[in-house]
Amino acid sequence: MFENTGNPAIVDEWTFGQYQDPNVARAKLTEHWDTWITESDFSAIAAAGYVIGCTAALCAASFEFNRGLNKGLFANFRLNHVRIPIGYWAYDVAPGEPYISGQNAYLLKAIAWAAIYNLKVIVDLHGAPGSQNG
Amino acid sequence: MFTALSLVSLLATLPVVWSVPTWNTQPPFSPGFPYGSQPVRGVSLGGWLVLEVCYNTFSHLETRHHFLHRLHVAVDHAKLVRKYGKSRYR
Repeated sequence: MFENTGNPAIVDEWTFGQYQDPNVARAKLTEHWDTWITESDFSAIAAAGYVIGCTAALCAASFEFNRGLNKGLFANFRLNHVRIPIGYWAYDVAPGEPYISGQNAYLLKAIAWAAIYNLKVIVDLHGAPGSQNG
Repeated sequence: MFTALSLVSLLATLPVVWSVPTWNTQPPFSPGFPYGSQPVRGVSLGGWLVLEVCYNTFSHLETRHHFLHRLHVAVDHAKLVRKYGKSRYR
């Protein structure tokens, strides 16, 4: 994202908004938000757990004796959470800050996708006011 | 004597005022997941809503980024260089 701007001064999300035309920056960010993570990723995360779960079921079928053990063992490998880091600038931008907001709509989308695939969401406030630049 | 009595009565009433349990009136939080008995396993969707500097080098590998695929292709920078050559990733 930063290297593709061709501007060596753009090294983080702060400078991404600072040294670019705001409309260009917003367009690039929106494209990134639309494509970096999609519903298919949530389905893949759920499927990764599901495949192992099926393997566990097959093991249980062939080794009837160990059924309880297998189920208990493999249940532990299923993915049940996604963590979504988000910066405070999704909700509040102080005067003079070059941050671009709009992430919250994608967080809401992600929560809806997680609900479809039975995944829980850990919302991670990854940037607080006055801290890192993204 | 009067002041001492009123002090006593004041001290007697204050704890009553303080002990109104406003924090107990909230319904208990029910997370919908058996935290504590079932392991939490998951994926962090980094570099999406917060841009991460460390994703830079990887970002022009594909236009459509499948991070699960990427996990296998490029776990770290050294692996990426081994797979795609030094000239592309310095």
